[in-house]
Amino acid sequence: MSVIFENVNKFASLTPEKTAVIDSEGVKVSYKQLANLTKIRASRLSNLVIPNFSRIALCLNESIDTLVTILALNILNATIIPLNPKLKSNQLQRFLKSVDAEVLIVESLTNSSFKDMINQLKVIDLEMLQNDNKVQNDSYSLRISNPQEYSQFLITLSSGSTGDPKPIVFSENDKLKRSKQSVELYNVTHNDVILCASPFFHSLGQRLTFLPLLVGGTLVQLPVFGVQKWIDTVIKYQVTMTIPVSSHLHLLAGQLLKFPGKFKSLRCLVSSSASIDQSVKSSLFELPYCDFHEMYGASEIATATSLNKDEAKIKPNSIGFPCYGVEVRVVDENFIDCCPTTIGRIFVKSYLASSGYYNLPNTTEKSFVNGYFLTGDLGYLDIDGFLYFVDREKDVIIVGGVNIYPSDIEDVISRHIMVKASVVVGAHDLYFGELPVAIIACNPDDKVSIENELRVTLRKELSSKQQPIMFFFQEKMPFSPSGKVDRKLIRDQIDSLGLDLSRRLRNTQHMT
Amino acid sequence: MKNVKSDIAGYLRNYLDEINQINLNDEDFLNFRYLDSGHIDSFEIMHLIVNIEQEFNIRIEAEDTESDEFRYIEGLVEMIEKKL
Repeated sequence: MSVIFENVNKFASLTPEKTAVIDSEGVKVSYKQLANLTKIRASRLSNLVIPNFSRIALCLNESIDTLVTILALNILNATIIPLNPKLKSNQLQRFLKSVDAEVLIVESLTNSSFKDMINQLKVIDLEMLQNDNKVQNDSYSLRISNPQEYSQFLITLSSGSTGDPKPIVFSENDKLKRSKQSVELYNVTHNDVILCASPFFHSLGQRLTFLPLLVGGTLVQLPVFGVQKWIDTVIKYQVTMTIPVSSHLHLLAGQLLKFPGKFKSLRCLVSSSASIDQSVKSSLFELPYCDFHEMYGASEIATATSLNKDEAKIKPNSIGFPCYGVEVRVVDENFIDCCPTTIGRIFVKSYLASSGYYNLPNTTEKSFVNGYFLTGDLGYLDIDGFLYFVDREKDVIIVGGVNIYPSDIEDVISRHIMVKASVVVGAHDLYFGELPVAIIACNPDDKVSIENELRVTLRKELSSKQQPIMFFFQEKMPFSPSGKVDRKLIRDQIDSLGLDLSRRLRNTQHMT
Repeated sequence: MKNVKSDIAGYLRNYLDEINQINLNDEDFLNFRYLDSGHIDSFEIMHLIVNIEQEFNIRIEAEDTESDEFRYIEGLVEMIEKKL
């Protein structure tokens, strides 16, 4: 289909000198330059990997070069599989296998973990894609692969860096429809300068990358988030719209509220990924100049509900009303709709839903029932149809918008010979939503050595977000009468300690 | 005293190398602004703090992490050394 690139190409004709993208160093690339760079990159890629291979994984940091590669793969009808460049070697191998990746594009082949991959699939680095003097701007030649299943334009690993890989499949049309939804919800136009401070391997980063390019606006990249950097970027480039994750918004709220005059360009701000503290949320709805929205959704279904300024005045605790074309139900354990204000499981049917998980028919079937996506969240609808979030029914821990599965961490911990049992729960954190904390049953004399050894092992095997920030040791694990570990009870006990786990980090103002 | 400093710097280099390889000589490494460079993400910083505390049996306070010293290797080495 290549619709996204065709849009870039269209704006290269209509507004050739307009800035399409600005990177974190302030480098600006116009639509004309972006289209040309993309054609050259497509030509290079077509000689190197296409059409022999079409499932291309990317382990790249956000940059103009990465954007050019993504758009080039769009021209070539390849399946784009963005991955977290910080995945550990064992995780990367597992993820690549789960999506049947054929090619891996990395920043640099000097990284030893990527060298290990060479035996398994074709690995190339950005340098190999840049060095092609033979290609001229106006004489690129393409060997486009047999049109891929258009249904596999992009595959996102839902957990980002954790859990059993759940690769969500998107068609290009899915992504186009999602952008269209954002255009309508937030009145996005070609005049918008849109800041993307989320990585491309997250669906939010994908949305914020494609959105400006589809409307002929300007994309501003901020790969490493820091409060001051965000503020400087918004002011310098007169950013008009962005969708921060709620943990970033918590940090930014103080500045946004104290100095609203500095952010006059910012006409629209949307909170996403996790629920936001009620007092922060109320204050943000009061921002002058800026239209604040809260959204609720998931990568599988995009935005399901949205709360705007007017609605927040009458429904301040709600997470919004279902978006156009989206049906939200709250059901009991027998899948019967609950009465208004009765808590149940949140199901969402949306025209924006993904077709499912790659190569996982059973998981897809369990997650999408009769066209409804089982969010794993608990909530209720009020009499006017506004949705309220209460809790999650799954054990999943959501750390700064990333799903972390306790079993992945517990599996590693339980391999330690001196650990009798372990449970990992999410401790409430004002800024990240939750942080993983481990409770370990062991002999009290062993706890120091266990913690030291576990920290080393966990660092090697798991991503940073998966590593417990604290360890609690006890002789026995608390079991409920039914013999199960009562995670909720443990979580409540830890929360009652009032630990402010991210305080020392917040002082660094470095929250990525 | 110099050995203590180089031991701490060595520990930090190994730790940060595990996250992402650092191709810097010793002098440049000491000046390395690991926070501002984007070398480590926020969660890695939290774990770095906890691991330093465990390794050196010290406590890093919230005020410590506010300081500029905390943001580059030599400053961090000196901060740890003072607390030993």
